[in-house]
Amino acid sequence: MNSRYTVAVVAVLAGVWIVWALWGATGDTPALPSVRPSAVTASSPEEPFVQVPDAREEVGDDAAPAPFAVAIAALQQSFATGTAATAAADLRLLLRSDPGALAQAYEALLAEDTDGDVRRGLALVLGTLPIEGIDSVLLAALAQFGEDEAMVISLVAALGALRDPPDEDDVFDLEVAPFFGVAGPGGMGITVRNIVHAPDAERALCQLLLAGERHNVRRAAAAALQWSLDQELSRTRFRTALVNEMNDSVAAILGESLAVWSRRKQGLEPGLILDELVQVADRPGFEEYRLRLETALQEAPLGAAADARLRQWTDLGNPFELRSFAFSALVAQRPVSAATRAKLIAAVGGDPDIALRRHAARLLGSIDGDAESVAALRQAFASSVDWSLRATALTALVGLLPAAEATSLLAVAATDLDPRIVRRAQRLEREVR
Amino acid sequence: MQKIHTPLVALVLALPLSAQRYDPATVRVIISFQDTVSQAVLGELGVVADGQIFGAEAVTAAIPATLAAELRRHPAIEYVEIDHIASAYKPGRGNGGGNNGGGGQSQITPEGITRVGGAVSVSNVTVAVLDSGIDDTHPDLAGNIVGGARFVSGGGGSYDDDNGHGSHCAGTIAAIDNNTGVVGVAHDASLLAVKVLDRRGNGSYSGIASGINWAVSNGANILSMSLGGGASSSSLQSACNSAAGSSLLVAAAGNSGDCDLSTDEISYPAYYSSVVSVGATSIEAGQVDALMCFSNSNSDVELSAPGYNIYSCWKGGGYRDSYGTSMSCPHVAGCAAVLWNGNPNNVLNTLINYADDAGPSGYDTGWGHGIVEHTNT
Repeated sequence: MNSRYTVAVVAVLAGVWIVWALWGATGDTPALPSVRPSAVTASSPEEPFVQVPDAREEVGDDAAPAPFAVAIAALQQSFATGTAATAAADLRLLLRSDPGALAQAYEALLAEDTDGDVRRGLALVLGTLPIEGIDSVLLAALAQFGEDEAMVISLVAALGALRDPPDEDDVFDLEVAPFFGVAGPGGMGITVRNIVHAPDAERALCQLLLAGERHNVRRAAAAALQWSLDQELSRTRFRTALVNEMNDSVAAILGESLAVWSRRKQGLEPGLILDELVQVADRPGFEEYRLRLETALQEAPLGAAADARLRQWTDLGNPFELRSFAFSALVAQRPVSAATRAKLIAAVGGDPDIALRRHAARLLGSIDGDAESVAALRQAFASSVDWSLRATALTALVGLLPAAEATSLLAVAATDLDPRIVRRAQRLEREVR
Repeated sequence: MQKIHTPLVALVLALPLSAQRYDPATVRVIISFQDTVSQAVLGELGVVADGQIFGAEAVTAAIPATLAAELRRHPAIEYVEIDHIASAYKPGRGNGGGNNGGGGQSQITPEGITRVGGAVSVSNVTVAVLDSGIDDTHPDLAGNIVGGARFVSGGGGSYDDDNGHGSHCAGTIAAIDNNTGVVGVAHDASLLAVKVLDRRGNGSYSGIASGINWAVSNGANILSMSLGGGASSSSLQSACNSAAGSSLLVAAAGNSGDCDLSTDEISYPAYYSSVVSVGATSIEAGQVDALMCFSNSNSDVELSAPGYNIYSCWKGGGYRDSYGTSMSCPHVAGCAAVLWNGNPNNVLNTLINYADDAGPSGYDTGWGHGIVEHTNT
């Protein structure tokens, strides 16, 4: 261990005992939500973790090594037996209740001779603990093992991990909490869904997002930071990263989270971001990016430049995936412009790509209907030779028409010669109130 | 009312563990079929489905993103969309300083229950709680649970609550009038425990759509959904629209509010027109009926109800305070149970017409038509 890391560890160890002594008294301290009786006040959606008091206590000399050694041995053995989640929970309980064990955990994380899987598991366990100082140790490990991609990804996950509840340790079983989960060794996993408040941790994750050839690391950093976009540093780094990102799955995280942030904010910056998001949507291979963005842009106020670009992409000659994305993104706007509606109606009526006609019909059914839209859909239902387009048009019409008219149409469809249309009509009957 | 206990129904949406984990090489999607689900078509396209949405011609699968466009082009497929994730609506960390304790020797009527008209007896009404499950041995809840299902992975099909959030919501709706713990608005309503959120309070849209369809097919009159996500979804909307023909769907408006009624914060399924969206108000002295800042505002908010310092049941037989639009939603669901007459539109209109106007006069985007109050009728 070099001197830089030793300093970090010593500094953290000094705080360990302090936190331990006060754990029970300071655990879950949510800020009171604000109310809105008349005056506007700011809400505080997140609150700080366990607070470290100013008081200091001496580090004792009687820390027993046995419990930590036993817990680590159990964790290592569990990797082979598929019981890592349980072993990790036992280790978490020990670390949050025994300052000596926590100190040993810090040392083990940074020790060169610690087994790689154990170190990864340890990082994940530490990442779930709401103890001030944990980030410093994780960052020290990040600097020390920066060449080890699997370790870096585990550390990144730990820095972005959900750090509550403080008093429940059974948080490593991805079978019962799979969403936002990041898997570690032996099947253990943690939930990565935290706002990264600590400036050092945020800066380190931003660096990983922007630097390096390893897209798996960039993806992990993006996933860890995606809930922190109210913070300017993370947001600006996301924007910078997106400009240069060529990996679809990394860009998908960047794009979706930026879109979600932008659509609930007002001012100049959200508009700029939305334009940037649309700008890169035609990159080859950005399939997940487009798939996620088309719903993330729901009701996002696109500017004129983005609108024009999307309109252009709906034109014939562009590939289906770009055209369908552009139509979806335009329809996601509220209100949907007359120009977009006209394009959809034209596409339903006669686009040479039958798949695009179906897509346009479905989208037309998702916006407020006018006589022209209804006429185009009725025409498609009545005269198309493509049963799939007819089924889509029927569905769209049932969504647009008044209940009485929809019921009449379904009665007609129920006698259709194509049994697939009949079955669709039967399904749709449930939706007509 | 003594409940008649039918065999508890447990159902697992067959999602293998690996299917719900994040795999950067694939994206989790819902594939909806134009007609019936076709394994032949899936095989032709190289898709291995890992689950089917209950009551719908749609499957879930993890696919390479490059396959999405190909799927969309296929005539047998109606649409392909991301299977988004929804979450329980509890603001920030912690749950409002809960005590996790027992219910004590005597029963209390939580202030929120009193505010919406108090606890009353109902008959022949079933409320489905789509949430993290319900503590099926809780002394204030077990007697009202008549069935349930699970639409998240793991747990062996159990709909027991491993989070606590679902039990809290269920307690506000129908905690039993039994001289212990708390009492709910409709204290003898039948409860269906539909577990669509995992241990950390997250769940897939496909699971929620399954839960909605399952609840309706198992006799739910009212569906209480204290959950939501930021993305719209055809599958979720379709499930809501279908269910709304026979049942009343109530959902939390969401906790992303910014204290500004002129800006919209949107959450699904609450934002769908077929779902009653509920905002959160205060019951604190000096701030009674004030709108909580975290409560989403938008033109689709229909009603509001107490959503701060709400005391109710918790997992493990416990009780605790919590806050959020999650807590407001079950107050409205409970009032709907009190007024249930078989016609969801009629019940909704009654709730709206007799709500206590609050905030700006008339309808507004925060309180909606007002604070729900079943005794006003």
